[in-house]
Amino acid sequence: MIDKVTQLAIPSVTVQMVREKLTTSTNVQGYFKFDLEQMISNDTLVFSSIGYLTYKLPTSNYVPNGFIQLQPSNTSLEQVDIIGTELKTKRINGFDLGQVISDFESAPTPYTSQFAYAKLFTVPTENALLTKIEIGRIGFESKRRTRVSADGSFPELPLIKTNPKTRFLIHVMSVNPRSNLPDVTLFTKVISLDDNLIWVTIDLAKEGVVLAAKEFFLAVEWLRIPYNEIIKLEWAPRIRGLRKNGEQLLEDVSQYRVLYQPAMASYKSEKKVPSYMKTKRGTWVPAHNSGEVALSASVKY
Amino acid sequence: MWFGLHAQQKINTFHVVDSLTKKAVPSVSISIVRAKLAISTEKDGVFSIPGDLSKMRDTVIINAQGYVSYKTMLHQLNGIDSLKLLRIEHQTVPIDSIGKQEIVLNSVKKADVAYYAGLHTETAKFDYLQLAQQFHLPKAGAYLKKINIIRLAFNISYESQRDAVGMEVTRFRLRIYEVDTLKGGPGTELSKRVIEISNKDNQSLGINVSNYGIKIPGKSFFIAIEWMRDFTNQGYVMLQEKSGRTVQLVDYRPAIGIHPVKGKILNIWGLDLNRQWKPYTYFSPDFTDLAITAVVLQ
Repeated sequence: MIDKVTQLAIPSVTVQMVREKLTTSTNVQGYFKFDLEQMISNDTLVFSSIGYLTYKLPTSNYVPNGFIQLQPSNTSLEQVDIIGTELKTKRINGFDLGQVISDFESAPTPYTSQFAYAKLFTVPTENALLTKIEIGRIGFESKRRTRVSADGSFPELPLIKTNPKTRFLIHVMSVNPRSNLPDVTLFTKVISLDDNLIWVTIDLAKEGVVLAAKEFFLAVEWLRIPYNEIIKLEWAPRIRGLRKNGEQLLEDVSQYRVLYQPAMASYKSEKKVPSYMKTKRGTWVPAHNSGEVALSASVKY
Repeated sequence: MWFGLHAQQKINTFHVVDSLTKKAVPSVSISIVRAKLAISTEKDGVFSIPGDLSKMRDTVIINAQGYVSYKTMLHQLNGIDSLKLLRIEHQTVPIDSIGKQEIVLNSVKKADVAYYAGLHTETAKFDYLQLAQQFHLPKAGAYLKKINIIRLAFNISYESQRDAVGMEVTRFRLRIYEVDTLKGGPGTELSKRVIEISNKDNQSLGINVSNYGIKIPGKSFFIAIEWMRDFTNQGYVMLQEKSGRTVQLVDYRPAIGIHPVKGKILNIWGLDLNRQWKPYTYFSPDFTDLAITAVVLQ
């Protein structure tokens, strides 16, 4: 079972076989099964889930191991009309391409595989319109050397498999007035990328995201799912045998580590913007990254 | 090969042999079901299980290509040191006629492969003995000529990354199956001889199987990778558990590439430690095929 709009798997969809009076539900990957020797031909499958229109499928039309799409039932967005004087545009926490590329100088350890990262943004006025978000990204193209280091040799990239595809969430969040931490989610967008572009622009002009307050957080939430996996090769010792004196003979063997896209670039900046990381328990803690994560927003006001 | 050993435990050693010839059966797959353990023996067919077998209630399944699987309770192995496997009698499958047209099925470009099956991850541990890719022919009857597999291997710089050279040596087997028409997954084995592949660090592996005389009688068939869970292939995976703790787990090479396109149906099946074939849904719904290409003559 997959969402017709996002193409993401839908877990916990209720699946009923009407005449046989059987019910099951989909697993975390959107798959379901009935324990039958073969599909009953003269019956109806009914698929239902909160947030989606119920879908009925005659079992005669059922294709084993196929995909069934459910239509989300609430897709309306508030319309924002802008009338009158020409609006000003401002880019906040901006960065440039040179700053993102310079992240390659030292062996890049991308800002990746967290649960969520949030950065504080301050706009000149209340009720500004969020029009664009930009993200600096590391694409791990091992063949493309963008810079030569001082001694003339190319910097060695870490042993990480290139994966251009990623899917993640961008949240606009309010600021908690007491703790100054990310608070309520005001807007969420699913972002899907399938190339190695190091500069990602997300156009939000049509989404009508009005920022009621002067301060807000932009948060990137990593989906730790197979689609976002990238693999890093390390190595670790293991015992190959024993010498006659009992001493262990060691050898190095492969050790893989799975990381999750997107790998966001960071850059050196004298100005430190408040930013936070979400822990596994769901709490926000200050982010201690050595540079600024390349995340900027543009607003009209 | 042995399962986890503690000091002062009794070691129960078994020799797996052919019931007719009494010779050792090499590379036997041993699964202990509830404990979720599986290994492959070396060429000598010897494995050991520590502990008091009379108290063990788990199920062990012993399997080797070309032999009938042997399934029993662990306590029933107490006092036994030799396990005899019965050879499967292969029947010649008649095919009316085979043409000379070469057909390439599930073509994959090495550069496009970014996902790999065969590693433990946060999402799921990889507890499969085999993964099989289903292929669909335009009509019934064909000869299998060549197989190409994309597997996880890095482009190591021999000058500056010397420590990593030789890390990814691997050895595995290919199994070819007909379709089980009842369950939809792999059924009767079509390859009479063992097809074993050894490789140092190539990402793309081309295997010429025309000399194996593998005939495909129907319109669909499976090519499976069988992991040899032995010392050669043993490596590690580091991952973060749900508790937040980072752990090092034993893993077996190779990791097999995933075809980066989404098909209309899922064509990947996995053989679990209970030796049951089930659809492999780990990368669903985004991806539906392994990075295995088959070339047939029809």
